[in-house]
Amino acid sequence: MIRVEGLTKIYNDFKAVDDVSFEIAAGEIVGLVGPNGAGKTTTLRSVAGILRPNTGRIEIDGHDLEKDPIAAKQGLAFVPDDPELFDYLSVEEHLRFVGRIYGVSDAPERIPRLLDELELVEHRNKLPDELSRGMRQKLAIACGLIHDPSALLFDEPLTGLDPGAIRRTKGTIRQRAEMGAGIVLSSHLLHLVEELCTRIVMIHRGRIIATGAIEDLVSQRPELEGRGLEEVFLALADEHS
Amino acid sequence: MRRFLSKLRRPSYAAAVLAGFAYFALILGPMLFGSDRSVAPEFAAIVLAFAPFLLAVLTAWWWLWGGYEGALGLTPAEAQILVPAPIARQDLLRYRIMKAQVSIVGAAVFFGLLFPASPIPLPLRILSVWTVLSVVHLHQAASSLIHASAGQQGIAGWKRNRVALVVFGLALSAFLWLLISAGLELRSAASLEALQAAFREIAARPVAILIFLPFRLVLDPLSAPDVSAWLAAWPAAFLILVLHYVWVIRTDAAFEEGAVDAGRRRAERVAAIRKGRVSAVGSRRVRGDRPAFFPLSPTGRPAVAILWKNMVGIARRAQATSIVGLSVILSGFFVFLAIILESAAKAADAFGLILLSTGGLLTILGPTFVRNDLREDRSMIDILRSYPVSGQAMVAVQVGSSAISLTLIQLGMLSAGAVLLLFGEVLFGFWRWMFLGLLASTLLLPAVNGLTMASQNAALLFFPDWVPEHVQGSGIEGLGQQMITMLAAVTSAVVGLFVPVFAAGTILLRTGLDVAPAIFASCAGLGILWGEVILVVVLLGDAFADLDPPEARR
Repeated sequence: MIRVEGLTKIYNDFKAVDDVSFEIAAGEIVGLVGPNGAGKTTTLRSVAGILRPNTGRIEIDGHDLEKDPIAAKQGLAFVPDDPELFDYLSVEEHLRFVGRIYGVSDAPERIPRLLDELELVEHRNKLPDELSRGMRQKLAIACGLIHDPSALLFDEPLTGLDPGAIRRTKGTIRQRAEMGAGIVLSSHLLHLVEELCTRIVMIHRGRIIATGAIEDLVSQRPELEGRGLEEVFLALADEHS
Repeated sequence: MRRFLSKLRRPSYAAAVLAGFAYFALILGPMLFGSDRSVAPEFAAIVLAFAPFLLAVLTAWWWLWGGYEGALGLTPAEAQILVPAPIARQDLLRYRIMKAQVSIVGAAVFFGLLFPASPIPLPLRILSVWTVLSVVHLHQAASSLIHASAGQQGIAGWKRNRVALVVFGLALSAFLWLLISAGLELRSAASLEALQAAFREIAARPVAILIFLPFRLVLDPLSAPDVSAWLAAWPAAFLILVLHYVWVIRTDAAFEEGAVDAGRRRAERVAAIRKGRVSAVGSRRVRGDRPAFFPLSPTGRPAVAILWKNMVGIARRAQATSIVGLSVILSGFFVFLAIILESAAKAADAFGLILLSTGGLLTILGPTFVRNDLREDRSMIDILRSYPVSGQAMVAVQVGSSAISLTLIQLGMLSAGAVLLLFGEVLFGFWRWMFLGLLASTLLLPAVNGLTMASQNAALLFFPDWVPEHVQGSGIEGLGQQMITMLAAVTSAVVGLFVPVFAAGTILLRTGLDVAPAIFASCAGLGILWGEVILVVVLLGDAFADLDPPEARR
């Protein structure tokens, strides 16, 4: 579904991402975790085709992002941490717009379902600046789901959501994975990652320092037996500082 | 000032500041230091004659609709630190008043320089302007505090400020009575001279003198004929300033909530400006419950969705009310011209010519104001790049959006101008030429606008620091940026037109001036021009595909 090989991104002299490789299969939810400035967002933005990596290869659904960007992006959705929306399009118009971009022929049928799923029905005619932070986040998520992408990239997806919306959004993410989407979820909320993700990719100073199921990571360190992801994360980050 | 100096290290910022100063020097230099300064005193006299009336209207506006946030907005940092701090409310008010003095003093120096032909020395002129601006600011602050008092304490708040409210009520009633009675008399004036005479008569009435007295007292030092007259007039103005200060400080209103709210909204507006979200900056609200003016089918070329989005954006901003307002103003202007010129046909000629020249001038000025392209999507470039749309298609529709919008505006103005000229005296009956002119404009303008808009979008992709973030320039550098943008538009149009015009001219020279060769030469020139547009869009599209978004954002 998503294959990243030797991804490196350099800003001026700073190596933000250094030789990162990972693979995400259909139906898998992978947590991308790491301290601030570790390179998580740069990795996600590179996979989304927003940034051009200096070296490395990214494949989405078997399409090389560099050689065949249109086909690769067709099956991809990126939900950024700060919802980026057009000021002058209403909620429903955003979905119609994104639907057309991805050529969703049954968009008129999907839009009401999505609005209902993300509790945006009564806000359908509102503009982004009339929405709360949480509503804007829900709209950004809806825009990412309209075309049923096979690869979903979430950067801090639950920011600004109320407890009820957090629960429903978690359900939505799980449901999309069950439908066969490969999902990358970057978050500082480690309990969320622990709850949702089947596998972790831990990144620090642009490099992957650990990868695997949480139980496997814990089993590699007997002293952390019975501890949660937070302890594992802190121990590994400390070790590589 | 330190931030300004540190920003000057950036070449783009320094160039913009230089361009801004150059513009001011070109406009203000002749006014301040030129030999012919005869226009300025007349202009200043007109301004001073109308100033009491304008101040009265402004004051009434603040009292009636000013709300309780005006003039006392705190920045988010001030709200977070100062409001919870153990500082007396009066000290907080003094702090806000003193802070406002920074910009008031700056404005006083600027406007002091703008009254060049005044017989009083520059320091006294600056002091006069400072007094007026300070009184205006304090009056706005006081009306805000009374609104705050009423908003938070209800009837008790109104009662607490009953003296000020009664004075305002009486003044407003008298002002309205004056307006109504003046309206009846002005309507019966048959000529322009009669109209002016009626104005003078109304202004000399005791009620008018009484209503405008405080405003005149504040403004009198500005129109003092000599230093002794100034010395006689200024103490009264200063006394009004002191009374206003005491009034504001003694007004017992919990203004903090409104000030925090105003500060938050101002910060949001600034953030929106910095992100290039122009609609959030405007005072008018864009509404989403109105249907888009043309539907978008769910399938078809994806890039069409970008065009749809951009056209919806510009249509939503150009609200029906503003179009009606503009039409009313233009109609009023036409009637005014007809009265002045004493002929509807002459007015049609004059107005038609104004519309034609403005429509043409928009080729240069338009790219600065019509921006529904990548410049407006500056903060959305990340998302745009994640869409499955090729760089060339993306750039083509983005440049196309603003070029189409500008062309439609220009064609509207040119058509209206042509129709007016046909009803005028000079070109009456020349409808064939008008039709040909419009046809040529319809074919030429989209290509020329495509080139100028492409140059603006190219600047955003390659030199983002040089592209203004929003239409309304902020400060001297904003003005300078607009100048540079206009220069870029003119340069790209001239460079782009050189080869097509040269080619068409060469053909005509070889074939001679006749209808068929002229049509062939025009088609050849137009073909070359469109070829240039396509080439530029293809190159820009490749640049967009290779872009690293942080390079396109500040």
